[in-house]
Amino acid sequence: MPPRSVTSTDLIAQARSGSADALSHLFTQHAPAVYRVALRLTASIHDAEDIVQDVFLGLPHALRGYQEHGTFDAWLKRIAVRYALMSKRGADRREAREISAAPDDASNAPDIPTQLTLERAIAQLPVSLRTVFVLHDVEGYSNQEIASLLSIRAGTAQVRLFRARAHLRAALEQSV
Amino acid sequence: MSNMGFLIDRLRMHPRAATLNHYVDGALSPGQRRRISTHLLACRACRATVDSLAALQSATRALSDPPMSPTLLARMQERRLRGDNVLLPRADDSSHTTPLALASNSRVAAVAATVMIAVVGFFTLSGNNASASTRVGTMSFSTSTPRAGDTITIVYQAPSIFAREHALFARVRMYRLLASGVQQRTTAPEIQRVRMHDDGDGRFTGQFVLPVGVMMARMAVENEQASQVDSRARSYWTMLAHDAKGQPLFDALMIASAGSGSAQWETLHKTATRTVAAFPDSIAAWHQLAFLEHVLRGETDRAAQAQFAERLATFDAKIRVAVPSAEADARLMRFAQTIGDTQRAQFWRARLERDDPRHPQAVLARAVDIIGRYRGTSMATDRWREALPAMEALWNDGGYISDNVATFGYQLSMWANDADALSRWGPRYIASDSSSMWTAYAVAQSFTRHASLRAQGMDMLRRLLQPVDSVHTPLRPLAQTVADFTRSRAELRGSMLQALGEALLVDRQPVAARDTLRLAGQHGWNLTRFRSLADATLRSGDTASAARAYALVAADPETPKPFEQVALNHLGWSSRDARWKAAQAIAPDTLLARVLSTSTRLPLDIDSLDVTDATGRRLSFASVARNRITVVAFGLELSERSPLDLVRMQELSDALQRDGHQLITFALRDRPADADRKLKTLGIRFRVLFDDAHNAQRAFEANGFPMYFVLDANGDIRFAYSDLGKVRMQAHALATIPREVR
Repeated sequence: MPPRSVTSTDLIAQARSGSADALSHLFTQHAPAVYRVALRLTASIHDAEDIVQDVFLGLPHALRGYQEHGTFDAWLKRIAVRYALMSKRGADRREAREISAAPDDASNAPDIPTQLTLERAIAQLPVSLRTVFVLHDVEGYSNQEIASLLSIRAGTAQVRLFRARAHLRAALEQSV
Repeated sequence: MSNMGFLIDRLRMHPRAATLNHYVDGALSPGQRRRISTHLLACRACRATVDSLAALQSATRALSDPPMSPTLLARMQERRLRGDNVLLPRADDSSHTTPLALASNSRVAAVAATVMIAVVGFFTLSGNNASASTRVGTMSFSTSTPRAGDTITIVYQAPSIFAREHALFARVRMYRLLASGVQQRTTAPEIQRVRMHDDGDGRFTGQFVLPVGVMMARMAVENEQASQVDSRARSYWTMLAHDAKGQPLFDALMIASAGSGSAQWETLHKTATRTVAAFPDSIAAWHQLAFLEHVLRGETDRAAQAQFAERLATFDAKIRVAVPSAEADARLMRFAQTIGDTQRAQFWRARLERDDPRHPQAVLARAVDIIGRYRGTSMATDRWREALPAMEALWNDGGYISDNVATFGYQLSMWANDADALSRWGPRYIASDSSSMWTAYAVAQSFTRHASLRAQGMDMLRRLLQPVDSVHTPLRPLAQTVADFTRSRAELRGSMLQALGEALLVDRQPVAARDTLRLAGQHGWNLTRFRSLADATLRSGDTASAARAYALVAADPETPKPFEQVALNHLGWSSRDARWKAAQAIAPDTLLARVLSTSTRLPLDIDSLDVTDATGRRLSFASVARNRITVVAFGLELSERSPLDLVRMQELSDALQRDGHQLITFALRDRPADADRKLKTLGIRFRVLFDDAHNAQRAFEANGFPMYFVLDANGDIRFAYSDLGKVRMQAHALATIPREVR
């Protein structure tokens, strides 16, 4: 199996050609990151699982458009984010779901109550605020990139980000 | 500086919230940052804001990845093997239009009764928004007014489920007219598979010749293996034969609105509306529209009812003074019956009997009379036997013209439990519905219940059990993939094997019976089947296996409590017998596994499903269905004559509530203004919702008119078209699954 930090050109080429094994390798390496962003964007385990599966099912075909500018991780994540945003299912009216965020290894975990509370608070944000917060503060996209993804102005993205943070601060303070 | 002035100065100096955010993000210039830092030294409030922003930032950066289900890779691989495809957006396509937007631009508009639907509009895309992006494509034809013999080019823009296909097939079902009359009768449908080639960018084209004599061609699109099907959400693409002037043929429209091919009721209603607009002087067209109106809306649309009554009166006045015509008599009689005008219905029936007593509708009316005459309150077998000679005489006197008489005769012979009558009416019934294996199976099964017909019934079952699994079999419905068809066939096979096994048991062949019933019981979960298997296994001498089968039946919550003692009596054991205890110990898990093996998973977009309650308040179905396991039942009538047993539904609702689940029913008709009062009068305490826009019907209607479904707490359908006797067990089974893996 290729080293985790490097995705070989061969692996991508094989997946592009339809190799199930290569696709499985890519899945093992990258699906957790896709799942993470999908889950936080949709606040739904069910939807996130569907998105992960869909992204990897469509990956062999999508790889025809991969031109190896930048890292594969970033390219895949952009596709996953675009797909997750397209796939929002009535997200505007959806209630937030409780998301289990318990890490596997409790001994190395950060403050678990804070993590659980923060995950819940993120899930309960209004979807327009949650989307911007997850993309900026969790996934590291710039305001310009977010504006492009959501077809809004950069200033609007920024306002939503600050409002999301205000919501989260209030939620975390109430939970103490 | 005064204290007040100092405070005002201090207030003026507070940075805005956005600035503090930028400060924490490190996005300020050095000079700006210095000024804010200086302010923070003296301002507790701003310092608290910055501290909490920083804490949030720190906590966000420390978030670990949420655990992903370990089964996700396997599920993805399984979908891949099933041929699932997804078309992903590009990573850098900033001008990408969402699929949802594309679908909403193409929705078919509603049509007023007096306006002819634009023929081109008839072929444009419809289908619900949620699925259009991945499952429903668009189709157009080179001509919108095809005539017999024309070669038509089909252009199909494929949805993402066909993203990897290089060839697709339009599977076309064609209908020819057998007899034109009050009811359009067609020959058995013919199937053609038209190959369509990939022109690039998901566009496929093919050519199809509309054969002479074919009135209607209905089609769906599938890939080569028929592992994926686009049926346009079961509304299909339809081609009607036209005349030289470019008008659709009357018979083509009537066939299209008559329910052939199990299209959705609303599609049939639209076609019937179009027919009336094109042929306003046709009694048959008005009758068909009135019938479909009644199906969809009952009698709640007063304006429509008034219009039908007015048209009937106009036709009545015109035909009374015209040259006698049995066909016109029959059509008026049926029209009057449909809208409840008893007086006119009786008048025109009398005229029909006078003008042509052997007309199919006259014969059918006499058959209905026979049934009505002998239907007593007790439904005693002897009473039905008395009706048999009259029905046989009717058949010999021209009743063979009517398929319905064959159905009535068969039903009568069943009620009368008369083997001799059954031997005659069974084959007639099969001949009246020759394309249906279910009809043949029903007759074969009824034969096995009579000693004189048992061998014949068993032979029929054995012939029916011959495998039919070709992708090209015309028996496969348009909307079904080969997998779906095989699954439905498996259910039918299970029923046929059960009938055969039970017949073998009665025929004193317990070992053959046991083996056949074991085959029958391999799939799914059927209490009567398990019980028959237990009986056969016991009679074949295998007591231990029989005990396990009895324990399985006893473990189902729908099995009455006394059954356990009945089973123990058969086994000759006491309830304390260790072998019985051992069988009981494993039964619940086995039953659970069996129940779950029959589950499916059909996503339902409950967030976008709007319904109304009895008071007329609009609400989202999600608000009532989410977070609880829900049994959904369709078809409630707000009257004592509801097809749903109200008492049973209430008992079921109470039982589900005790289990922590719920029952929701959908009313069959539009919400009456006094719905709330009616519910109270009927003593209904379970939840009743109204679906006037037919949103729920469309959402649930994948394989036919909805009945019973069981939804998990996420709102996905896990058991579709279920049996009312099974829903409680199914709900219980779903409750045992951890929610994350549903």
